[in-house]
Amino acid sequence: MEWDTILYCGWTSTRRNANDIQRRGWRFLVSPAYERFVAPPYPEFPNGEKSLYMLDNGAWTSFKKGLPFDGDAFRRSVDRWGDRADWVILPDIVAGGVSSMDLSLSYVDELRYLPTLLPVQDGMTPEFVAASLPKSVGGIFVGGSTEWKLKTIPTWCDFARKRNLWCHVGRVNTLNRIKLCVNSGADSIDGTSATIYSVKNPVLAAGLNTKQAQLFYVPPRSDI
Amino acid sequence: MSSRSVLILLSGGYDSLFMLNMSKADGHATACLFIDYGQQAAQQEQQAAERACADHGVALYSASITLAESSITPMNGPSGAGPRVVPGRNLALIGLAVNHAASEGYKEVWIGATADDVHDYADCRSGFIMGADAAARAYGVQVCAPLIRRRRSDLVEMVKRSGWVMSAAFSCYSPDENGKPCGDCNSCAQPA
Repeated sequence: MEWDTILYCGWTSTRRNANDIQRRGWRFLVSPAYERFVAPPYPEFPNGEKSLYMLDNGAWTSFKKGLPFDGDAFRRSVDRWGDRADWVILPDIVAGGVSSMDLSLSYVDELRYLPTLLPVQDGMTPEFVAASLPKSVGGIFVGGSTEWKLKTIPTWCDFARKRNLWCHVGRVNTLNRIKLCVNSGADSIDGTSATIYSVKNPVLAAGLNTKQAQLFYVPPRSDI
Repeated sequence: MSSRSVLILLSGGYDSLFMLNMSKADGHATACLFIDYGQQAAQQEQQAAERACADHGVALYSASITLAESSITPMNGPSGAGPRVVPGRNLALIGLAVNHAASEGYKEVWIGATADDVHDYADCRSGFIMGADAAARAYGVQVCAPLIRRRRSDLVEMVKRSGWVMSAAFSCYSPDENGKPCGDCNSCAQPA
């Protein structure tokens, strides 16, 4: 079975961009940083239709601001959005390497009845992750530095496929990287540029739509 | 041939028929369970399920349960758009399917919840399925919702690519007196 890669975009309240995202069938990536901006309770498109979405942990936003991970804000977001989220990304330490795993695993029991993704990043290997991956975790979130990500995306997609896990690649904002993810068999990706630079939308959309129209050759995925 | 054995909750509708095709394509040992829970379209759905299972050469188990009449009544009212929520329906259906799976030697129960269901139906959300799965594992059975991240439009696209025949499907909450789809309900409004 070879499904299309699902695209998530950072939350936007800009009507034009939100309409565009809806028209293309894309979904939202919300995070604790959007707590005050997403109303009513669940993310909606301007026409009132509730959107599909996944919930980020907010670690990236805190990292950019030079702040520590905000566990309280994450828990508030889980309480508000967790039950209908496609996925909830377990907390991680940006640029934390293998020590990030300890933080992620500390939340697994608390979130055991939500669909969670385990972030992987620089320094982690499939063997390392396989050794400690809890059964309640539904997949992996490929984060880390751009260089590391580009080198390891096919490996992680293969790792996930063989274990019947979901593989999501974070922060994919160029057409070439989208192609790499799609051709590697990523189940989903997210990017912010589609919302921040709406002019890029047609380009990014072309990357996905033409995939289905044979521009990209996607090798058949093996049975999982 | 895979080593997995699957019992599919088959309503005869598009999503469950898609799962039947998917399971067969993946080479799993497959059987189906149709449950009459008093839904208005039970007769049409059962006929669709029987056709689909005959086409695929898989066993079809049938069962019936009685839900609270007041929980079914809205489904028998005038047709129209909007969710038709039957409280606890999937809990009852999954429980019965786990009973059949554990007794007949199937290791997985598949239910056709999709991403389109998540906002309207609490029993189609991941947390609900994960909870049901945790309970079912006591009997050596896993509960899976293999379509839960996918929208109906994704399924339609996949059907086009794979060439699967979906003509046996019957998806309507409120068929007319001749047994034809009403064309108005949420189920009829989905692409097919």
